[in-house]
Amino acid sequence: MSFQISAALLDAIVLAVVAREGTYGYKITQDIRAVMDISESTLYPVLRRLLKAGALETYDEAVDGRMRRYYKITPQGRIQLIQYLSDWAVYRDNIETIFFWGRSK
Amino acid sequence: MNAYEYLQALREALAVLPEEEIQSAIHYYENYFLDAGDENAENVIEALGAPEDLAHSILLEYTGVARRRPERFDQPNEPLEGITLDKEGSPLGQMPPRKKGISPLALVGLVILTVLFGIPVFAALFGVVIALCAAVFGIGLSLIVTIVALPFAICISGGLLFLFSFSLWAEPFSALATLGAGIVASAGGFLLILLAIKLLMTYVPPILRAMVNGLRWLFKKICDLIRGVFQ
Repeated sequence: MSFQISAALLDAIVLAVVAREGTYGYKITQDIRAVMDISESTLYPVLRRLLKAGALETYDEAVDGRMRRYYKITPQGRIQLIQYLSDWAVYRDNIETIFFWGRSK
Repeated sequence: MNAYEYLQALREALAVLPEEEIQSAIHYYENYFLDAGDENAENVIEALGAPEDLAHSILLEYTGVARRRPERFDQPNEPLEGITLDKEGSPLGQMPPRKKGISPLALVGLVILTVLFGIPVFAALFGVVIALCAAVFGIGLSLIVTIVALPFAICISGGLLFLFSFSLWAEPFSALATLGAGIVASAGGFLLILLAIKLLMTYVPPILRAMVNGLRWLFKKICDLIRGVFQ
């Protein structure tokens, strides 16, 4: 695709995916890769960043006789996500106003 | 290369990071391989790329974040060391600062503040500007008056000397000298008047125009400022 995904947009995408349900690294990667072309190695640094920022937290759950690490969104992460979503709406409208002569409004 | 070897190579490539960070990354990719399943291990290895490249992307995130926000460190020039030293509050502890639009509440507060403080301050500023303009105008006017009045005075006094000389015919030389001085003075005054008119015509309109432009510019700036606050 012509458009690069910025770090902030990636943060927002991961937050949005994790906000739906507690989920794990492999599944998040596959969920995002189902709709957009990101490298498999992209996600770990993003998750780590969001964890450190307190937007996500982890918990371990037994699956198939082993512990799988799950990620879930924190209240702070949810606030962050809401901010991202409203920022996105403004951004999208602005771009579409230029692209489509205000048809989106 | 199998998954185990891959993770081993990744661990080695990440060796510069603190142990906790290495553990975290290895744990994540262990999970990743297990979730992908044994049958997909090769695909995953291919998709992740060389362990060194993967390690590079992880390291880049740390150094990248560290470089983006040096104010979090006591020693801004040593971001990696900063990470190592930081035990509880991590250097990655906060989301990057984000721009926010002005909230409605803040806008209301701003309007109230403007009404309470802004208007008197603005009025005072306006007064100062008006006073400055008046001062400049006054000085200018007095200069103009001086420039115009002086040649007139010389011209008129020359004329008076010229007339006065007629009452001095008893002493012809004095009379002639006075007559000459009178003619010279009035001619010089007349020339000075012409000069003054020329000077005023040349310099006054541009100065006035500059003043008007300056005021207009100031007004526009203030309008832009006010508009900027409310957008």
